[in-house]
Amino acid sequence: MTQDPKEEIIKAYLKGGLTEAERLAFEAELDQDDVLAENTALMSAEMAAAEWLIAEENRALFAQWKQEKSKNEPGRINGTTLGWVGFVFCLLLIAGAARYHQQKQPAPPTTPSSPDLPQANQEKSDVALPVQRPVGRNYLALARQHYKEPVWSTVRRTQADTTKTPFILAREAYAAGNYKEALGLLEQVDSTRRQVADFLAANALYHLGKYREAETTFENLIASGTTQYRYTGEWSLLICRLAQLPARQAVFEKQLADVLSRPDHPYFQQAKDLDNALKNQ
Amino acid sequence: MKKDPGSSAELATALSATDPERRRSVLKTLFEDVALRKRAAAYVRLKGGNRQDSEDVFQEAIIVLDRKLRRFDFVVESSLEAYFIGIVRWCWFNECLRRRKTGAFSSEEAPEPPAGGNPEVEFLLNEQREQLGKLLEKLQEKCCKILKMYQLEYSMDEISKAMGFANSGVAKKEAFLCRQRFKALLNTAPELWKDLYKQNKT
Repeated sequence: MTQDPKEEIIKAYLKGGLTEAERLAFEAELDQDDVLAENTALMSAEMAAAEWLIAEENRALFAQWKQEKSKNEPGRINGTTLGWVGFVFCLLLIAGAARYHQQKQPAPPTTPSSPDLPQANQEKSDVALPVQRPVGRNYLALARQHYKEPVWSTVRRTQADTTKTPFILAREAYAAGNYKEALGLLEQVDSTRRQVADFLAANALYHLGKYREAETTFENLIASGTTQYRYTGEWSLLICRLAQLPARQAVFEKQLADVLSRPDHPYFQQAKDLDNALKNQ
Repeated sequence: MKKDPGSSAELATALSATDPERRRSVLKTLFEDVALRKRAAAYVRLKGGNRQDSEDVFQEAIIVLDRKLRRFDFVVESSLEAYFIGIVRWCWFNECLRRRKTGAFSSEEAPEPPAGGNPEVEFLLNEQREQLGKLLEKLQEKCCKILKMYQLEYSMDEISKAMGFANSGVAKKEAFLCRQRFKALLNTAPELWKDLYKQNKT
């Protein structure tokens, strides 16, 4: 693969494999030789690109291990989980009270179009995949192309928004592209803004390339019964799974087929476009 | 049971292994090292970070450690844990710089970059990370894999087997073509590496 006779010495220089005398001699040569300098710069970029790819692979592994760890430790409850349990308990109490008052009315029929949310642990089920997504495709690029940035003007605003609450600060950080900072601020958001905070957090995780964590956050948000973020959440969930293809193929295919089978779904056309893009890629 | 991550030389050998399982196993040992995680979290929290920050910095530090040990021909002279915490400090300092929140650091406290590394490559990975990522989106998945394996020092025979090519000759040709494609892509974004050229010239 080595084409340039100087490639080995450039590589050794970039890897810090030259002696002090060799390094000084090489740097002197760099000052004199434009072609060598250009080739060195190009190889630095190639090395950095490969390291970027390796780092992405490592991040995906970390997300996988973190998820496995949390699955294996179901008994550990942190403060956030406890808060959620309390919140769900209150909701159940309210729902129970409402049901008590309406018990003479017939129960509403189950909506046939309720979102079918394939859970993460279902991917190992024996789902017959309609197509096999090959590995030699740039699904990440396709995901970025089809990802929809949240339109924040539709976010419900309250009087409290006029002050710099952690949520407002998180939104500002998100808008400035400081996704990690946004995530930190979102941890401080109170339970009254939990859904919008989770929606923003899931999008921030997506931008940070933490697709598995973003997927879980979108899943939980949809499972919480949100109406405001249901469809956008479903679409973003699909995109997160697309970004992780072919690893997340089973859940991706199932969800894509589900949206394609529902012409009334707000993202039906986008799903068709995505399906075509996958076929033509 | 706590696993010992081993010496830096042992780690470097394992992380450079062309056997992905071996690499993964070492990375997992580091990722699950409770002592390292606790020390990283304590430092980040002390310097004003939250739980999410400490987790992110811990993971980023493993990525940097992996790169430093594997990529550069040097041996950690201090203990591995001390070296790792040095990386944690550096990662959190950089993150604070990005957020323009360096209040937690006095001027004397600004950490030194961890030993080992090439300034040009580090510059690209830290300052041009976003642009690099966008550029790589345009590269075929197959080429990304080959580029990665090439940098991980896989032999052409190993690349051939991993990618399902007929033989090492095909792998060599494919690798050459992929590198050419990447160079062509780089030429569409001269701003990404032109600074390096200037750096080398000064």
